[in-house]
Amino acid sequence: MSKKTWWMIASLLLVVSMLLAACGPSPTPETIVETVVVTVEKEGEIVEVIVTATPEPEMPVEFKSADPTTLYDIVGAGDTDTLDPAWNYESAGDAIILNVYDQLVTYAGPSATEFVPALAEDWDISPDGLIYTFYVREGVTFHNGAELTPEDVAYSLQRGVLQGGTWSPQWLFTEPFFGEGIYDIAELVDPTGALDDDPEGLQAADPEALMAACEAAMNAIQYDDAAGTVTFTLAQSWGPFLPTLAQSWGSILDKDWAIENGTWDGDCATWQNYYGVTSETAPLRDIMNGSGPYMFDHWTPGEETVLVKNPNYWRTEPTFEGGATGPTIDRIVKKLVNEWGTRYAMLQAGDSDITYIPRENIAQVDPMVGVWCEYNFDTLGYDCEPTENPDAPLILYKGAPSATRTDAFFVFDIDVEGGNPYIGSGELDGNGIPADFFSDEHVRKAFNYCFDWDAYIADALAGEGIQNVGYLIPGMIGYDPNGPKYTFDPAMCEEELKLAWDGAVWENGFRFQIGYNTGNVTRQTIAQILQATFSDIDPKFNIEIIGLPWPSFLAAYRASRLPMAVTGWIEDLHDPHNWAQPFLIGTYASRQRMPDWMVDEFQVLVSEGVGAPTDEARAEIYKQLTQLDYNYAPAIRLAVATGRAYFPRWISGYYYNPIHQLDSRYYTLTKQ
Amino acid sequence: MAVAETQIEKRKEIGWLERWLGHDTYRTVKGMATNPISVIGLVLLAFFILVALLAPVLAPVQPGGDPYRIPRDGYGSVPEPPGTPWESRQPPIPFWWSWVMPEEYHDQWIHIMGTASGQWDIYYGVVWGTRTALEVGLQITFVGALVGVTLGAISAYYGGAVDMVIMRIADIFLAFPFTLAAMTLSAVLTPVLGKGLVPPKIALMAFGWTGFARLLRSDILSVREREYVLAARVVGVKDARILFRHILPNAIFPTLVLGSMRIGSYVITFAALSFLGIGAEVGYADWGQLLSFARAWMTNLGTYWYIVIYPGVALVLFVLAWNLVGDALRDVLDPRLQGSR
Amino acid sequence: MLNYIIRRLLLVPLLLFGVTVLIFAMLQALTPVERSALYVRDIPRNDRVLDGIIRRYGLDQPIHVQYWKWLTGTVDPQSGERVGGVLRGDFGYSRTASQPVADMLAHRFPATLEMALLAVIPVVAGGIVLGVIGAVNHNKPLDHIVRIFGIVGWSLPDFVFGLLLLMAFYAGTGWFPPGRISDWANQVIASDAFRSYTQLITVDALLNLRFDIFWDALRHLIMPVITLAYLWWALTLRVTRSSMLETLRQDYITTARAKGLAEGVVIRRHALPNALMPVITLGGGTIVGLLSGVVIVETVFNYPGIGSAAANAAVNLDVITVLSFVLLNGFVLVMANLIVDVLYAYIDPRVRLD
Repeated sequence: MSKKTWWMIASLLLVVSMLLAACGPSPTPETIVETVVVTVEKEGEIVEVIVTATPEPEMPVEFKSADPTTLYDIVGAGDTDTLDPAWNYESAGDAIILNVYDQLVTYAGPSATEFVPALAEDWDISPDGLIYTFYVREGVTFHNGAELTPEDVAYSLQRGVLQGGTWSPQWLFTEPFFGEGIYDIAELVDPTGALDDDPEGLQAADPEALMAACEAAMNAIQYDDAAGTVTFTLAQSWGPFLPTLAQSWGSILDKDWAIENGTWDGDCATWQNYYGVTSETAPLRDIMNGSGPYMFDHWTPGEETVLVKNPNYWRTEPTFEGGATGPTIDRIVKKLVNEWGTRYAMLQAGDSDITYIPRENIAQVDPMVGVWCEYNFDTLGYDCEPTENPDAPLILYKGAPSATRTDAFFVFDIDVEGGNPYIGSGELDGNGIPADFFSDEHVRKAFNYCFDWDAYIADALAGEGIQNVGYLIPGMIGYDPNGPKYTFDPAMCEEELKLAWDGAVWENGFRFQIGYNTGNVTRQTIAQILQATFSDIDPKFNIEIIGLPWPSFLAAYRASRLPMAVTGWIEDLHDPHNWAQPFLIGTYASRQRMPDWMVDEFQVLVSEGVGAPTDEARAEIYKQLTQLDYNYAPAIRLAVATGRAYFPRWISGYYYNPIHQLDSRYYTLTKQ
Repeated sequence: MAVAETQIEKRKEIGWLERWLGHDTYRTVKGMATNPISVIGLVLLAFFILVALLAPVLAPVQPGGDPYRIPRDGYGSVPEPPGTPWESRQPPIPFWWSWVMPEEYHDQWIHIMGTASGQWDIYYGVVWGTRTALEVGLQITFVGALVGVTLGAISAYYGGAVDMVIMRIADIFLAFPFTLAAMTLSAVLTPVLGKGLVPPKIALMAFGWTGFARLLRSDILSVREREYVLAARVVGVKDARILFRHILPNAIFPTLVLGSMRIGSYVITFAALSFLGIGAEVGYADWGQLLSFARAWMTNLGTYWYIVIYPGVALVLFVLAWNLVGDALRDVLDPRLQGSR
Repeated sequence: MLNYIIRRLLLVPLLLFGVTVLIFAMLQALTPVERSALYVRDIPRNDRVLDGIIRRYGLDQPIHVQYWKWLTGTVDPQSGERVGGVLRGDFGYSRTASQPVADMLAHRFPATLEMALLAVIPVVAGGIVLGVIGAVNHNKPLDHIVRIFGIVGWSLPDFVFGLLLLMAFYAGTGWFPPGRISDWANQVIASDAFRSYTQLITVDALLNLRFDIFWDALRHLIMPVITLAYLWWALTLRVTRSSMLETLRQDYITTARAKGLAEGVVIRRHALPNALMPVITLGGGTIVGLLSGVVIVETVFNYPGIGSAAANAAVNLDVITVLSFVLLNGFVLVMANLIVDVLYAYIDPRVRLD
């Protein structure tokens, strides 16, 4: 028997060791080193830098891909929802739409504040800021061969507005066209908003009111084919109007093609029949026909989207000096790979040209970097240097500020209907908090002083972030890096705690829960930092952290049941209004149940800011708002992360514009 | 006379243990003790039970802390290798530490198995995760088996319409792929019951009973036709007595074997749920949850091998232990049994 | 027998009805706002969004109304016609897959089927051969190795095994990539020069005599197939082994040996056919098991089949998609079991179906 036992043990060990061997170190990726020097003419920049920065005149390494005609863009979570530019409101869709469709104007390369002509050759703005006239470019053809006319431009935007839907981006147009606070075309028919997203209700509405709403849209967006112009008449002066037009919802499509495929027929008598589509019923959900540098080939949901080069792209002038004018790569394959391990393996195998790399995984990728480029805030470009491993296959672009931020918001009047598990006893007895706990200014300031920004930037943002001053993000009109901000100061935190609720907080302590949606590491870390600093002051200040599944988080957040909500914002437009509106009067303010007097105070300045005629005047108003925001401390304004983009070194032509996030305009890239 | 003699001779061979346990049980125990496969399984199992019992000694808990929350050393995302010293919020050092370490390290507690992404201490998670695994495996199997056995027994004994209804319900549950069913139900239950072990446990229980019910039913059906049951019925013994005294004890063994093998597979499914992010909460001492940290680092295991090897090996060995025991038990009890996972 | 088959088939609608009711019953647990979370990916920008979604999709209606709508569709207000509804063959729209469920199934089912079919080969071949080897060498070292092999297979979580394989055979070497097919091959398949007969790429490639594409598809399939097959392979091995052991103890085998037949002949001609009976019973379960095993395996290997779509849907509470996967699965299960029963009755004259 003992013999048998040994047999068993031996074979068991064998299996275990096989298992361990399988987990052993994997060979490091080999880079193909070619010694042939090829002088390639590029508009570019980075290739030269590498060569000059190499200290010794050693053989320059050429990085060549196996297949230079196809670009592989490997993205992580989040498939495209729809390809209809009037309906899409997500970055996954943007990344495709902005390469296939053109807009009237576009960004000047890496600059998020300057605009250059696109489908409009030029434009005028009336002195009062109410009338915008665009001169539509001639000789542009859509991918199906049809020629672009001013009528197409007007139709594209009219259709979008009339298609409506509160969860589409159209509210970004309805506000300037019809007035602040109007989020959907249906509100022109019924101002209470009862008909929003209710196509049956709208179809049954008064025909005259329907006709009037449509005509309002037609009046706001007019065209003149003979003069080659499109004219927009705004309801009020609107600072961010050009940025709105430059985004994916400002895409121009071919009217005849769109109608053929089942969109609104252009008749004001019928628009209500096309109102309120959903992602699944939008007629342009999975087809595209634009005038952009790439043509849509196919979209296999959940797997890939394929674009092919548009050989007749109209652009002759680059959008910025040294920029590209047309596509060079024949085919773009954008693949969805949810599992990071798989994406990483593809990157190592050289099967991926653009890879989505979550921040927590950068340590795995950094050893593969041969050239390290830092963002330069003055030139809006990158300064590059070889790393200690100059033959490594990747190039890293780092340090560019992102246009997204996560903040921690206090809820002034927590919903307690039917009991609220997140606020303990509901009293200031050391075992809970009252529903209006955060309505005391001292409590809010204490939480601000108790937040450790350094720990947050070091741990949640891997050391790459900038503490934010106020509600704006760095680089924006009105953002002052030296403006008022809170700093981590436990002594001040104690002071404020002693003042809060006439000393009752300091006396009894508190206990409540901060919720985050599970899987969101940043939100979780923020809660943990607060938890730690408060328990260091005194264990009776007790913050519990609770991970909620996304549906429960959404529901609790929506009902204002979470005492503190940690959530993020990605800008729609690179404009201060797109931050001031949601943070001080809109989305978040209403969720936080800010008192009316506070909202009113903010509202005055926000309305002034969006309507002010010059950038200087706007900047002044937004600075005043920053001071007010500091005084009332309605939230903890955290930090803006600085982004990273990794490419194989055979890709060049990359530039960063914060509004595109990490999505690329593929036509500017080249691949060897 | 000759007959009596042989009986006496046989009696002599029976030891005290066999007399005490009864012949069948003794045969089972002897089979288990002499079968090398089962011995390995039992040793492994004993080891895990020991670790679970000694968890507070092996990995002491912060006073006042929740023992099932893995302590973490900062928040950074890059895993630290085994042997890294604790830096912040060091938990109590176990008393045996001073026995095994040289003098100068007596006050320094280290990450014995390193830390996972987020600086969670792997050693702590593996040790306390043993409790979770045992708890999850035993609870789910127990409840699943109890429900299954009850329904299976009722179904088999009464037959007819009752049998028909119960078996059709079982069919409906069986139409769900097990993993997907558990995923869906726990995803639905999580918003209702909160994140934690309860939703996936309930989900696994809800879909775990069918195998037991079907197995026991078919075994009872075959036992029911045996002579001694028929005899009991003819004599007029009551239904319940026949069921509990005569049928169940003889039909239950395959169910036991199935149960022991199921424990392992439930623990795997539970780990898979945690791995996909719908099981235990982040930072809960659970192997699947620890492995989900490793998910992002799998392809770099040359460097970060410890984040998958320790919880992974613990999981594999744990499941292996139950399967070895179950397999041996089956061979000893009845070589004809074909269970399903 | 015909009677039996008809009766079993009549039960299918009942079963599928039960399945759908069960899933809709699960939904009772959630509030409309929680259910609307499926339609937004992050916190919406203005407050009316969730109301709009709830109104648009009728998420606040009683569950039986929603069920009826799902079953029979809705009346289109413009044309007055009934549209959609499962009973009319419209499975609805999958939010997580961003396309109608029917399109998703049509596109992805062949991929899953291909994987499952390929997995049957190692399951049957490897499992049966090893099982017989184990039984013939009962309690000898070879038997122990075979058993350990089987038990370890049982004990290896598929998600861990899959990721280890990916790490070992793709990360460093690029030999066996994830996904279903390389892009260049995909382009060829989409072109007119390539005719798709079955949608199974390996088969189509052979029929088109494109061996490069065949090899490419195989390269993508090998690792998921191994991961998927390993578990069922282990099960087949066990069943074969114990069934073979039992058969070898039968009197007729002893008789055959006593007649002086060679051991190999005894095993192949006399024991094996009888020992394989339980393996056939297992066959139905294996096919279903393979289909449900794809949920995790496809997720790990980024394989575009119905399993990964179902996993994604379940995590996101996309009930419409989960439902269709379960319906499909239930249907396959019933059919597989029916075929097995009939096959069994055909082979073994002692079994009568009634």
